[in-house]
Amino acid sequence: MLQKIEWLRALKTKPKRTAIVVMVGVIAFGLVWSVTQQADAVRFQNRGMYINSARGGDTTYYVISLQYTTPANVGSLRLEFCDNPIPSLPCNIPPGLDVSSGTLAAQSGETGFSIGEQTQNLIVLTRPPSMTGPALSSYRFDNMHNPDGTHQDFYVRMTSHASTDGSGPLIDYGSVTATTTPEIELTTQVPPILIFCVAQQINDDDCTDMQGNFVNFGELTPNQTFYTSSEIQARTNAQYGYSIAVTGTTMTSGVRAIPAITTPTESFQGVGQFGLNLADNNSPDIGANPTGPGINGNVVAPYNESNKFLFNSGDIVATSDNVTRTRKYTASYIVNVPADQPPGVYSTTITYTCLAGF
Amino acid sequence: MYNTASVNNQKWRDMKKLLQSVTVLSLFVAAVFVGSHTNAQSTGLGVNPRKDLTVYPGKSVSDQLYISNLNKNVATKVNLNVVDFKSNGETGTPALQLQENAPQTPWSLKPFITLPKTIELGPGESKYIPFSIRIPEGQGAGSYYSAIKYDPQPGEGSDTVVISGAPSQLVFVTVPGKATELMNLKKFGGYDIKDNQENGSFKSLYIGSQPQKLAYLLQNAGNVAESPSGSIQIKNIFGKQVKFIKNANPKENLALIDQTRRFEVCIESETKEVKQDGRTTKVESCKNPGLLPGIYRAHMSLFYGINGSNTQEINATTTIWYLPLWFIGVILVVLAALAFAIYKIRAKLVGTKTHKRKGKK
Repeated sequence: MLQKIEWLRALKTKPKRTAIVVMVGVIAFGLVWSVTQQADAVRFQNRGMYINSARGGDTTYYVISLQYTTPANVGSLRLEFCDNPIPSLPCNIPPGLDVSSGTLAAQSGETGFSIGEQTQNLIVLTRPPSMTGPALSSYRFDNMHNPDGTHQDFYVRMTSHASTDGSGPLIDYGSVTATTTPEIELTTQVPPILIFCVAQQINDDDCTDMQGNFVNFGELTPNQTFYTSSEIQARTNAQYGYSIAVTGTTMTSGVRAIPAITTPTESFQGVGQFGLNLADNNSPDIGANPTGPGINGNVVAPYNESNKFLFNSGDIVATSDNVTRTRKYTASYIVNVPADQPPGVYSTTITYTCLAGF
Repeated sequence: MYNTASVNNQKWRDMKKLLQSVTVLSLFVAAVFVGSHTNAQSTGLGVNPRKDLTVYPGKSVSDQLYISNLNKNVATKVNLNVVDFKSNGETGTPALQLQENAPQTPWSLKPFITLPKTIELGPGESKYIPFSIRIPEGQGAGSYYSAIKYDPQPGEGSDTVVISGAPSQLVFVTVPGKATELMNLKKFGGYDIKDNQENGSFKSLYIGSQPQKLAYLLQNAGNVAESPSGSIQIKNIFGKQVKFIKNANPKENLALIDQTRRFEVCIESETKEVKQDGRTTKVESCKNPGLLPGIYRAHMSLFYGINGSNTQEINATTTIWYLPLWFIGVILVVLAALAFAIYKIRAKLVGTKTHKRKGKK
């Protein structure tokens, strides 16, 4: 109790010193924590794996290559096939993988190895310990059975040891990755599909009932804004979603053109303007917000701004980032002409291109 | 009179015949017009959105493209155009190179792909279109990709905006072997993005809500469209693992050549199976990870490298502070209580000392 009282008195008499001690302590703790968290060991250099046939479920040969980083007496090389690369985590066997019948068919660089231990997902290469050099080493294993499925990532955790049985302290370590990828896409279920249609009017969710492939402004005069609309509909069951880009030119008649609006701008009568948006507008009163259950399909700014129009060929006007149910977008077009707009038949073709994401 | 009447009757019969002929001709013309107009009707198409292939140098692959005319009343002609594309920002949105004079990209599939220029589809008809890709002997390993654009043949109109819809299919080809693969990590950290926004922001301090998402930016400086794989461990201040993200690239997103791509991953996710158009797709969404207030470190190990090329590894660590307002409030209250207690004890001690001094006097 007395000690506590003395300490509290010290707080009163030596506040600066106490504060400095506390601050130094906190900083030291932070530094020690940071340094210990970022410590790294030595990894194999130039490591890689070649699979002769990467199709899921195939039996083929693997070539594993690496460069020993640390010059040391190495007696064993441990190769563990897992579903994740991190050594501190449990190693789960990739579904379908089996290396228990694998044979060491060839070796170069650091040689003299034979298979010392072997399970469904483990191969330990062993040799009398000898010093490693900087040359690239490679080991070919025949009769290796790939994991099942397509696009199945798997990893080989590799460690070198002075012991001949893959035990004890590791010298170098590192992982290599591989993926089962078919040469020709194997269809395990219905392939993904992208459904897309554009029309003056779309009457159903399946793009089977549509009307019109053009929209008409009528006869253009300077004292009026002319406007019209069309509809765009898309859906996909692909996980990457889609994007819709608009391409084309402004309205032209021979060499004469009505200027396109290149930045989001309101409609002004008497000014040469051609633009569009995919929003619900009230000046002029046209358009609608997107409808339909595919709520992750959205109009991209600035084409989502009400009463502001523009047209830049190649712009993305709508995107979705995942599987997307049917979504209908309404494109509104406006045109204004100045009094001195040369007469003529003005027209254009606007193409909406729908692409998957990646 | 009779003759006149007879002539008139003859004229009337001739006129009737002429009228009948005109009517038939008009109907024929109308039919032709309607026919051409119908031909120019808008089309709805269904296509496979993406195809991934592996082709070894010196070999070719034959495959099929699927296309369906969704309009059950109108036949259509579709032009098949191979168009190059690049990345569009940090996301997975492609930018088609549609300009007339657009130079061919170094990764273009145009020199290697063979497919028909035009196809005809009857009302509601679906077709499989054969195509092939041949990679010449000695072609360097890496990725080659382009899009196949399905352009319905344009309609006609005057004083009009003719509208057209063209779905496209991305085709990625990997040529195995020793490729130049290099990705540079530009950023890694907590990531906040609002629904329906293209871009969000990286952040390390969370006050209002728990961190739900991590993201990393990778700059692809190689010649392979890379899809990195790997894991992320999240540890608390004591080094104990509190979350493990097994797949750091759950949607198998790609970083295209020359792209700086953003990869997003949920700290805690829930997966739903969505059935649509006969296919079941797993859709992942982020949920509250249930973290306690504190300081966390996320350790990421990423791997990439095509078959036959070296495996490349990227390791990174980021720190996330989760200090919700209620927690800051509690800390402040505790500190205030502590300060008050120290003040009281100090006052008591000072009072005791004064008493002692007074007593001595």
